[in-house]
Amino acid sequence: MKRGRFFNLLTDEDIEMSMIELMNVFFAYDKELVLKDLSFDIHQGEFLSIIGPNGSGKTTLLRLFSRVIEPKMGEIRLKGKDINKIKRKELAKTISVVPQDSFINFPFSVLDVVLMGRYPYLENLSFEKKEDLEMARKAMILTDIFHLSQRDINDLSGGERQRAIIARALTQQPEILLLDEFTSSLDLNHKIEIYELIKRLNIEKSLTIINVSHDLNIASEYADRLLLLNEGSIHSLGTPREVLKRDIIRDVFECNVLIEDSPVTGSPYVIPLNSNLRIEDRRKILRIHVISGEGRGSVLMRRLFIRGFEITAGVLNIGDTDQIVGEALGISMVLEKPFSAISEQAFLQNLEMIEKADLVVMGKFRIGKGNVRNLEVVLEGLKRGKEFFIVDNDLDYDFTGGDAKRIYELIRERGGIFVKNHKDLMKKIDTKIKDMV
Amino acid sequence: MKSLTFTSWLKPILILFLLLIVTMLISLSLGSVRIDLKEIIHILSFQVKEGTDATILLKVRLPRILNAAIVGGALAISGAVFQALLRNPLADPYILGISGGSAFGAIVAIVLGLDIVLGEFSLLPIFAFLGGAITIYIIYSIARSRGKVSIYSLLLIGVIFNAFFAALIMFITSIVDFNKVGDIVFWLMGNITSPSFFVLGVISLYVFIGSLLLFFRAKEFNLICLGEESASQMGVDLEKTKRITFFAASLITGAAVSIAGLIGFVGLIVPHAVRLILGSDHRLLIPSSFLSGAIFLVIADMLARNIIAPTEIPVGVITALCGGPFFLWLLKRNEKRPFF
Repeated sequence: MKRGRFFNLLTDEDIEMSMIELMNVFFAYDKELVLKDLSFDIHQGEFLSIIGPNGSGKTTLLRLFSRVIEPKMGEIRLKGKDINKIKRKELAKTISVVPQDSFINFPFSVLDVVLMGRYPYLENLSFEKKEDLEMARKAMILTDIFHLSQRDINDLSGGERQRAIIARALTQQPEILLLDEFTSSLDLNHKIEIYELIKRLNIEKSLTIINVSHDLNIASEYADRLLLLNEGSIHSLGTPREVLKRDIIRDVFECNVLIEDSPVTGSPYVIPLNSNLRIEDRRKILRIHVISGEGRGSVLMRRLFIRGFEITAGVLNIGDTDQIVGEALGISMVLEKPFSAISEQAFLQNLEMIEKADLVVMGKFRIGKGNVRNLEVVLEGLKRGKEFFIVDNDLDYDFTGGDAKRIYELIRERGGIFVKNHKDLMKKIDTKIKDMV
Repeated sequence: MKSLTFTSWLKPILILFLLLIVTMLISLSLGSVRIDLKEIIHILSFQVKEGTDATILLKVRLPRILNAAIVGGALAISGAVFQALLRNPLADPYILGISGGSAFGAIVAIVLGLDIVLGEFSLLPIFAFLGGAITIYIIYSIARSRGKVSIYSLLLIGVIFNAFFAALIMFITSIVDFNKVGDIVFWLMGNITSPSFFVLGVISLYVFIGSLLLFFRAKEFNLICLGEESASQMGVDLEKTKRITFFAASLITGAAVSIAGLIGFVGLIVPHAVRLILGSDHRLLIPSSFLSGAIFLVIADMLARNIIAPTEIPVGVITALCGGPFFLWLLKRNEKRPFF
């Protein structure tokens, strides 16, 4: 059994108790191996979210915990005891489950359903006693459905019905709550509301929560740890920050995302980049070099990135917003030290990148002595026969005493193509792609 | 907060029980010969032992009415249970091929001339019961794979078996001696007769044991309504419950079919009517369904005997005439809800 790592510093109560331990668990439906060699612990009082693509074995794992199915090999221990040796009623006193959705074909009142949670505690055929009713009342107040207790469960909205099912699960007085995508049929406000409730139970009652979730951001926000399953094996297990990484998500979900800190909660926040193309394919279409600065290019870079082009950029000063966004997008850039003028070396590197690009795009930004070479490089590029799309600089941009304005004129003379704004730019790029194809 | 307590459980059951007694008394008095209440009580308390009225009452009407009550109760109780177990409001006791199997068994007995009376006992009920029991055993074995019974397979296999037996019955009817066709058709329509008290006793024993077994699983049926997986996660031993249910429900359905033939719709409409009034808690639903089913069939039989007396209508016709429209109403009412 796993014990606290700092056992010499902690009292007995502080030592992390294992609630569920998996030891080399395998499971197969027929001959198809669904879960492969899973070994890990779930601690008392933790909030664990199981994530992973469809068919990765999330729900199967949850069904193993509630013993709807049994492992083909290996062992699952609940509080140190082999789960298969625990009687069903005893198990129901420790673990309760909230399923995805519950349709009930017959008229039951909400109270009837909530009281069903008392089944493992009651004798055959007996009637519920005062304390059972009290338990149900508390659970219904907690989940805010007490006012609905006499209503037919089928007349409730999806959110209300799911709250009733949670109340039923709570009257089982469990130590562990298993939730299987239990908010998938709910709208956003109910989803958040129910997660807040679950989190509260987790903290106040020290209830161990294990949920299967498709929503990475909700999992990230509420869970202490994430278990990422892929093709039946553990891909990674750790805090949301450890698991929700760009390359991990790309590996497992085959989907390109941005990961930023949520401005509200501070947890990692996954932003999917909608593209029908896989990364490898889209790189082949067009390579675009972006010249920008002052943080004004970040929008441009992101838009082009989402469109699926391969992006490079330069020269950017380290610490500039453009550079930070570029870093997040994982694009290669030519960089210069913070608040420093563009050096000869950076200038040449930039030119090199321009030569490799199919197309160069320049946004609008203010130009001073420090970054005027980002303008000069355009002239060099045009000389080498490169195609340039330049966004009209309608800013009061010239801080070079007239040099910048002159260079803009030269660019226009030598064949730089000017566009009014980003929208125009995108249109131009689209026509260019059509011509290519 | 209202939840089921002993008092709120006992009250509707007592009321239904009294209603059943009253219905039976009325039914006892009606017929080609009217017997008034006073005389009925005299005869039933053995103060009057001789006379035509006593003979009619004790040899004809009383066994017949008790028969109707037991069959009605048995069909309703197994209907309630099958609906819960199959999580399907349209299920009835015959859905799993029991009707087909029993009918086939009975018809084999008729064709082979084994429906003769040996002493007080006809072999026909035994054949019908065996037919139903063997069929459900076969269906259950086929639907069972890797220790689990799939409800959907059960339903499908049941439908197929019923169709298969229907074909077999038609085949037999078409080649059999013309005199026996009438017997077969009469049995298929469902009939309440006046069996001997010995037969009644045996059938009642079956029905009583089966009903008790089911009644003791009432809470499990409640939980199964939330879904099999949920029920099991809440502590129900699902396989054990299913085994007991199939055994007990086939026992009582087979017993009922063996003495009354195929009486449709009782098992379907009675549990629904009870649910509408008393709710779905099976602790209350199972005994109330028994009593209501008994009341319903006693009334149906009373109508069958008296509507166009002296001609008797098969009671199955009456139940189907009431049941058909009710079934449609139920279907319409539940349109918005997922049925299967």
